[in-house]
Amino acid sequence: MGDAADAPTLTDVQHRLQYALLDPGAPAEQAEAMLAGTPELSAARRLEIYRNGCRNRQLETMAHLHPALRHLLGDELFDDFASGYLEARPSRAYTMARLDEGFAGYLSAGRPDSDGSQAWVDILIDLARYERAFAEVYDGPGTEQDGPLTDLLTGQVPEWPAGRPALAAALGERRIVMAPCVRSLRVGAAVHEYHAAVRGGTNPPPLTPQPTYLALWRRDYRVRVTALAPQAHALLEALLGGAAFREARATAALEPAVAWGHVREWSACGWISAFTEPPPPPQTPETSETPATPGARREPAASSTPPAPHGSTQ
Amino acid sequence: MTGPRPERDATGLPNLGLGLGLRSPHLAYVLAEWPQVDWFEIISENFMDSGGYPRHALDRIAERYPIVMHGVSLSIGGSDPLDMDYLARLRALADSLPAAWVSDHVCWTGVAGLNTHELLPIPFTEESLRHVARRVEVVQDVLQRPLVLENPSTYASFAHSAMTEWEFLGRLCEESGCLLLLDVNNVVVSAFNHGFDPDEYVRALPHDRIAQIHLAGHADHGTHRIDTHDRPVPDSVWDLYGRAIALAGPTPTLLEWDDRLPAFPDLLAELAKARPYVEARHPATDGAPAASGVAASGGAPAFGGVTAAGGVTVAGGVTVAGGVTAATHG
Repeated sequence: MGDAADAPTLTDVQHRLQYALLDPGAPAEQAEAMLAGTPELSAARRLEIYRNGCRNRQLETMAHLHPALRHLLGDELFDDFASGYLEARPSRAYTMARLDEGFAGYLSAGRPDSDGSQAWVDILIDLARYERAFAEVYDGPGTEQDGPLTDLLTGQVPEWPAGRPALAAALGERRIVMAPCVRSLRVGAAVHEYHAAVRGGTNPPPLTPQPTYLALWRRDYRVRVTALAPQAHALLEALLGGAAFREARATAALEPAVAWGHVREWSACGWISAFTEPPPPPQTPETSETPATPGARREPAASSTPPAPHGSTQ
Repeated sequence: MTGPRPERDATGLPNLGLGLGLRSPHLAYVLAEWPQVDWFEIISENFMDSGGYPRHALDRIAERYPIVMHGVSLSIGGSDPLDMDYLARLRALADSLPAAWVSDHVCWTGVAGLNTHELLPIPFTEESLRHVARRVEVVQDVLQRPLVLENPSTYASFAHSAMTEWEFLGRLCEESGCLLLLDVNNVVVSAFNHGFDPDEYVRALPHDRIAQIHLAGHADHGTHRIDTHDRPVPDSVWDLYGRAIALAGPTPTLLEWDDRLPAFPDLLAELAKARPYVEARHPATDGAPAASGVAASGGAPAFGGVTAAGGVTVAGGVTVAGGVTAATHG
């Protein structure tokens, strides 16, 4: 056993070892000097086992998170990109499910065309963004346990009140709370089709530039994807950004009835969690605790399955 | 799927019997077939933030089977402050299932806010012992349940270690009140890599603190062995398991298999090989059938093929995307 007099502290041990593990160009002498080697397996070789294990595990995870991008790039080039990313932005998450959170941003920051003129670069970045969004929608919060959406006043999402300006104005101020599993993406190619083909085990042709406006959501625990018209997509993005219906409609340059028709359709698809009244105007301190009246809400769905006995853990 | 077992006197935890690691590619199979297995162990981090199909499936499975949570990112030996947000999420998951118990590893996984996602070794020193024991107490206070800690496979040890791994674990139990998850595969791997006697290791542990045992396979690279969880349990591990059971008594035992994951019935058949060891230690005295739902060796129930859940499925223990998984071996 060692001599405690000149032993490194636990903190020193961990910083030296981590430095040697995560930085492939780092000098490893300090880390190796702490380790006990044997004739069969030197300290350097032992450190290398950990270094390889760390690198391979993370590359494997990146590959699993981005099957379509890997397919497009090929294994070697994908590993080069992923290695560069992992070295530049080492993981801070407690789960490897979030290992790629900054991957698309890393690719974007390091794009070879400084003026952003190369469409193929956009396609690579967009595919990385899409695969990240797909994973978030798959395993993130959803609405499967929620009840049907109903409007506070009418019991259902009403049609646009054409010819009734007062009611239209009231609807226009509504804020539409999108379901947490809805994402919008503007991409430079039909990356969703490429991704689906790769996941389905086929070998799709290379992607070609084609502006595409996507919405991702989840229903019955399955990720769904649809391409939207540009104006509908603009409406969706504005709503996801928290705009009131009136503002979102104006941003998308859609007629009120057309925009509201999208809202009704999206509500039927489960993209909308709630309609809320506009926030109250600024109030004096004496009255500031008055809560805003909520609008339409989902009611919790009644469970159709009673709790089952839990075995020996009760 | 079997009835409650008697609580174990020493650890205070139930003897759940023979269990399997629950992996994403098998979720749909379990939900469809409700196979005869005593309990499941999950990778905690897979479900701490999940709101999708994996969590939905787990909640349904937890209605019928005891669930044990096994983590890979607690970093109990790390010199960074404990991540209290992580602990709160761990506690929330443990309460919601509820988990029979919560385990992790005697290791560290990163410093300076980073996570290597590796189970890295700590030097076995008085400083480490005090440090880990203090953190165990904090974790147990937050979780409001005993923490069960596993011996990881290691490929390096520190020249300045002042005690053996088994001495460290014994004293850690004594000073912190934690329990042990004895991974006999890890003992075999580490014993080869460091040249110690695996029997001495197992003999020296405080047997009344062993709450659970792990079984798994490993790869032999000649100069060293790697904990891979990608193949059947080798004879050397079964032999040590038998000796551990003889010393510790009937202990909840779990088979880990992460990479190159076979069909669920094959996992059950591998797990069933543990039964003779358990029965040899405590033979039935009245002819009553064993409580475990796992068939004895050679008698594993024949089930259909496995249907993968959700999206892409590959081998591994840590869910990272729509059915995509990657392994962190412990």
